[in-house]
Amino acid sequence: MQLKKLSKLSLALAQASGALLSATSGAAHAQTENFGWQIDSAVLYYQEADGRVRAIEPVVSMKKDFGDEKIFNMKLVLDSLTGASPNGAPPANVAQTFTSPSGGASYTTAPGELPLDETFKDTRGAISSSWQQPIAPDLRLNVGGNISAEYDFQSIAANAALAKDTNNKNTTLSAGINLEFDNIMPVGGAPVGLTRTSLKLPTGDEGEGGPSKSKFITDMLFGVTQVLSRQALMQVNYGISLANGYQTDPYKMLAVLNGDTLVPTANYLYEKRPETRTKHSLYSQFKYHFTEDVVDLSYRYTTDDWGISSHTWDTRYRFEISNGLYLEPHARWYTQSEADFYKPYLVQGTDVTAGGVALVGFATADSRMSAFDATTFGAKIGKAFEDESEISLRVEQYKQVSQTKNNLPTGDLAGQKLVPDLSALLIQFGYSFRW
Amino acid sequence: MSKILILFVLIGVLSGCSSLGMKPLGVKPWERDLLAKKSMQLDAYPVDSALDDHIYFSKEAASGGRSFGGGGCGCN
Repeated sequence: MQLKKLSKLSLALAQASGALLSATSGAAHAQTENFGWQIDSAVLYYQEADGRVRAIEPVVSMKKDFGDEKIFNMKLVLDSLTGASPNGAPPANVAQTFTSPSGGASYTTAPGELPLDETFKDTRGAISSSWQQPIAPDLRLNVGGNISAEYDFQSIAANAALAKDTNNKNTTLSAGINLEFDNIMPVGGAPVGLTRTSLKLPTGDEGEGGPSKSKFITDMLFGVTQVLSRQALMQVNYGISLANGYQTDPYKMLAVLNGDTLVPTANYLYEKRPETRTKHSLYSQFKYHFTEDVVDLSYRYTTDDWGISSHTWDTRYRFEISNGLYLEPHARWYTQSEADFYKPYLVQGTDVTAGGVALVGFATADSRMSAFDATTFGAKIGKAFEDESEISLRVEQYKQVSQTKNNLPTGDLAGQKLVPDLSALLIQFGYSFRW
Repeated sequence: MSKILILFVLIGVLSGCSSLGMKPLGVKPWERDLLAKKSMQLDAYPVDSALDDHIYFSKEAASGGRSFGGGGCGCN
């Protein structure tokens, strides 16, 4: 009996360590004697302020433990997006009229408003699966794959990871690789980067323009998980990501400023990003069990060859209230620097000629490539029942505050916030049970 | 970059210091009661973290670190 308990506990820890390399295999539960299905389901509601993106995202994750550390996992996600997405042009003191990506409609943005493409609507479906099993003493292999599709984008990926327990299973070393292939089919074709929006003429797959584009991403992740004490556990991961292919956002453009006056919107330029990107990440996480409560602290640093560095601090504190009822406040701080080629707008004469010929190699006005700080504050309340089922509700507020300064004293952009802040509300219902 | 490697190696050395004759970090098998609890798993709620990763992937330039992402998105 004691032996059974011990193996049960060490298995749970081994699974916890293995979670590092597979987002879908992480729910390591102590209860391994019941080899039924563990079902985790959730619905996320995400709403950005000012009528921007709204998403409703149901998820079902199914896990079956076959014993002997053999675990199968499958997850289905549906993602329904509606609303409006910024097109890259900044708010101005004059009205701006744009043609939609399909070329079939136009929309006008009033002075002082952020130009948004109102035709933004998408549904994404994703399925992922993984299998874990031991292949030698204290060595586990996890293989998995996923497919994701939306009407203008498809992604397929496969991954494999090894996790090796040492030091009486107090230390787990892991290494994994993920290969991803993405296919992008922009509405209206992929525009030629840094050409005028009025010149959008898809010309087949030759050159830059064309109906279909692709990219290939190789990710590698190496980690160490260490038990520090009966109450403390930590993990450190190093990740490297190499992306090659089309990484431009085909729907985003840059405004052009001539002196302090905006040129006609037809003379705005489509954005263009480099074809290669190498990213590094360092992630560390620490968990500590107080008498009943648990604190979870993590920090991540990332840097890439586009010039973007970021810091992320994340903290959760789980109050065990009573009888499986818990409350978990959450706070996250994030800050990133801007890409080398980020520009809130192009300057005629410096970045582009009066004839519309780009003088820079790459440029984007996508706010996600700009410098900003972001915070998330929220809480989750949940109740775990005797039969291993659990219900939960999570409410969080996400805010981005731009660090891009506007130094224009006069003209069409004077006084405007070049990158408006973003605010979003997240509400998530969760239900887990054994089946 | 070199700082990252140094830190990474340091952690590895720290965790493997048993080979140097020091007392290894960790616990005996019968001391794993708290570590085995769901709330003490590194990714105790993978559905939550995958949803979060997807949101932040869509809204920020940095991504990943903890695990591999779940199949990208157009995210315009």
